[in-house]
Amino acid sequence: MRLAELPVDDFHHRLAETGIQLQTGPFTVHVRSGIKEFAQLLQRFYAHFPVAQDPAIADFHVRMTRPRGLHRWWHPQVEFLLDGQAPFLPYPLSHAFPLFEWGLNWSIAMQAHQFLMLHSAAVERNGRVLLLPAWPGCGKSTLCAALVSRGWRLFSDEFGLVRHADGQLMPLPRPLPLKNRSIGVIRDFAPETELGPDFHGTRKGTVAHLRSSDACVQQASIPAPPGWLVFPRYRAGAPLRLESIGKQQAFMKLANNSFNYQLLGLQGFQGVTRLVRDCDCYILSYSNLDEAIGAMNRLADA
Amino acid sequence: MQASSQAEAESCWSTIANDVLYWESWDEQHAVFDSLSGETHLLPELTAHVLRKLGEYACTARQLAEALCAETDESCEEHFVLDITRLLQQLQAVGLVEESTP
Repeated sequence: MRLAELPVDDFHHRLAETGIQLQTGPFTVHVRSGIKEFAQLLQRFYAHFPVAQDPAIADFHVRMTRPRGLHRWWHPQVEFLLDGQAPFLPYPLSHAFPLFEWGLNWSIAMQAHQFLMLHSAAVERNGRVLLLPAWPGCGKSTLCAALVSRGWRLFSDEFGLVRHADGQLMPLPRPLPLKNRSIGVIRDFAPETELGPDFHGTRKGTVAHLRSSDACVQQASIPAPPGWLVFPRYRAGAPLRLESIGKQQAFMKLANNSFNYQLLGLQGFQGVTRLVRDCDCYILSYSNLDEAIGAMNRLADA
Repeated sequence: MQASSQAEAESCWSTIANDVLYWESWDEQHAVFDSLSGETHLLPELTAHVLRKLGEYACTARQLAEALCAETDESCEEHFVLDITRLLQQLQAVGLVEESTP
């Protein structure tokens, strides 16, 4: 059953009382909240995600709740609880949905060591995955959103999840957060994509979420092998430049980019070296999305 | 005879156990993962070659320098022995080789 198939009243009741188990890629997330505004956005952005009917074992138990105290009367707040613990300070109530998304990312990064985790966007075309590893500010999310709007399958905007056993990438096609100027860029570049409301004044500025397509969600259990490692760098006015780099340089950049390379020890080393071995490796400098997409298409179609 | 006696008095070098080192090589560039320390080291060609040689047999810095020179039919000069000694000390500092004195 998909979340959208639940009657609205039933959904709100279950979310507030027993919680709902969402299947997001390889993870089952048990989420519980009585906050109506949050529930509405969850229903909108996760409409086509599967809901586990049985009380399956969840990977993450999340509760979005309003903390008690005087604050609740004049500065309403929201807390993200993971297994009953609050890893972050409360946020303004109106930021509940971005807090849920960030909190879930944090939870995955802290716990999902059954995967080699790269801080990377990942999109698929012709059966192989393009990894775009980058730290914030390099234009990773903007390029990822643009590629998805032109037919690439979204794996994730945030995580390259690599299975230890076979080196395949696992999809995690959750809502894609765009920040500040990227919001307007994607609204202009792909007006047909569905962007949610702007959340102003978050710790990352203004944030808006791009809804994952139904097709991407339906294929969320289908992994794919890696094909290309492209380290993107957006520079205003920069000409397009796609430069092949050596394997050792790619290895260093990727190991430094991983959330859990050090923690995984030998598994991390073997995972990163296999990725570098299996992929063509590049650095991409760009300022124009059409040019960058053209270059990625040529890589994938070659 | 004098050189041989000198070599015998010198420290003997060997890698830490071979089965704890995992290698990946790309052309003349190498990465080695030390599963004892959890550290990854990126090594240039000569350093990787030295480490692999010490994995085959333990020897003194001089013997190692002479073996390397013999591979390229070059005479082994004193400054090269000193370079190899420094390199071994650097590898020792990161825990990849061990020194034993006779």
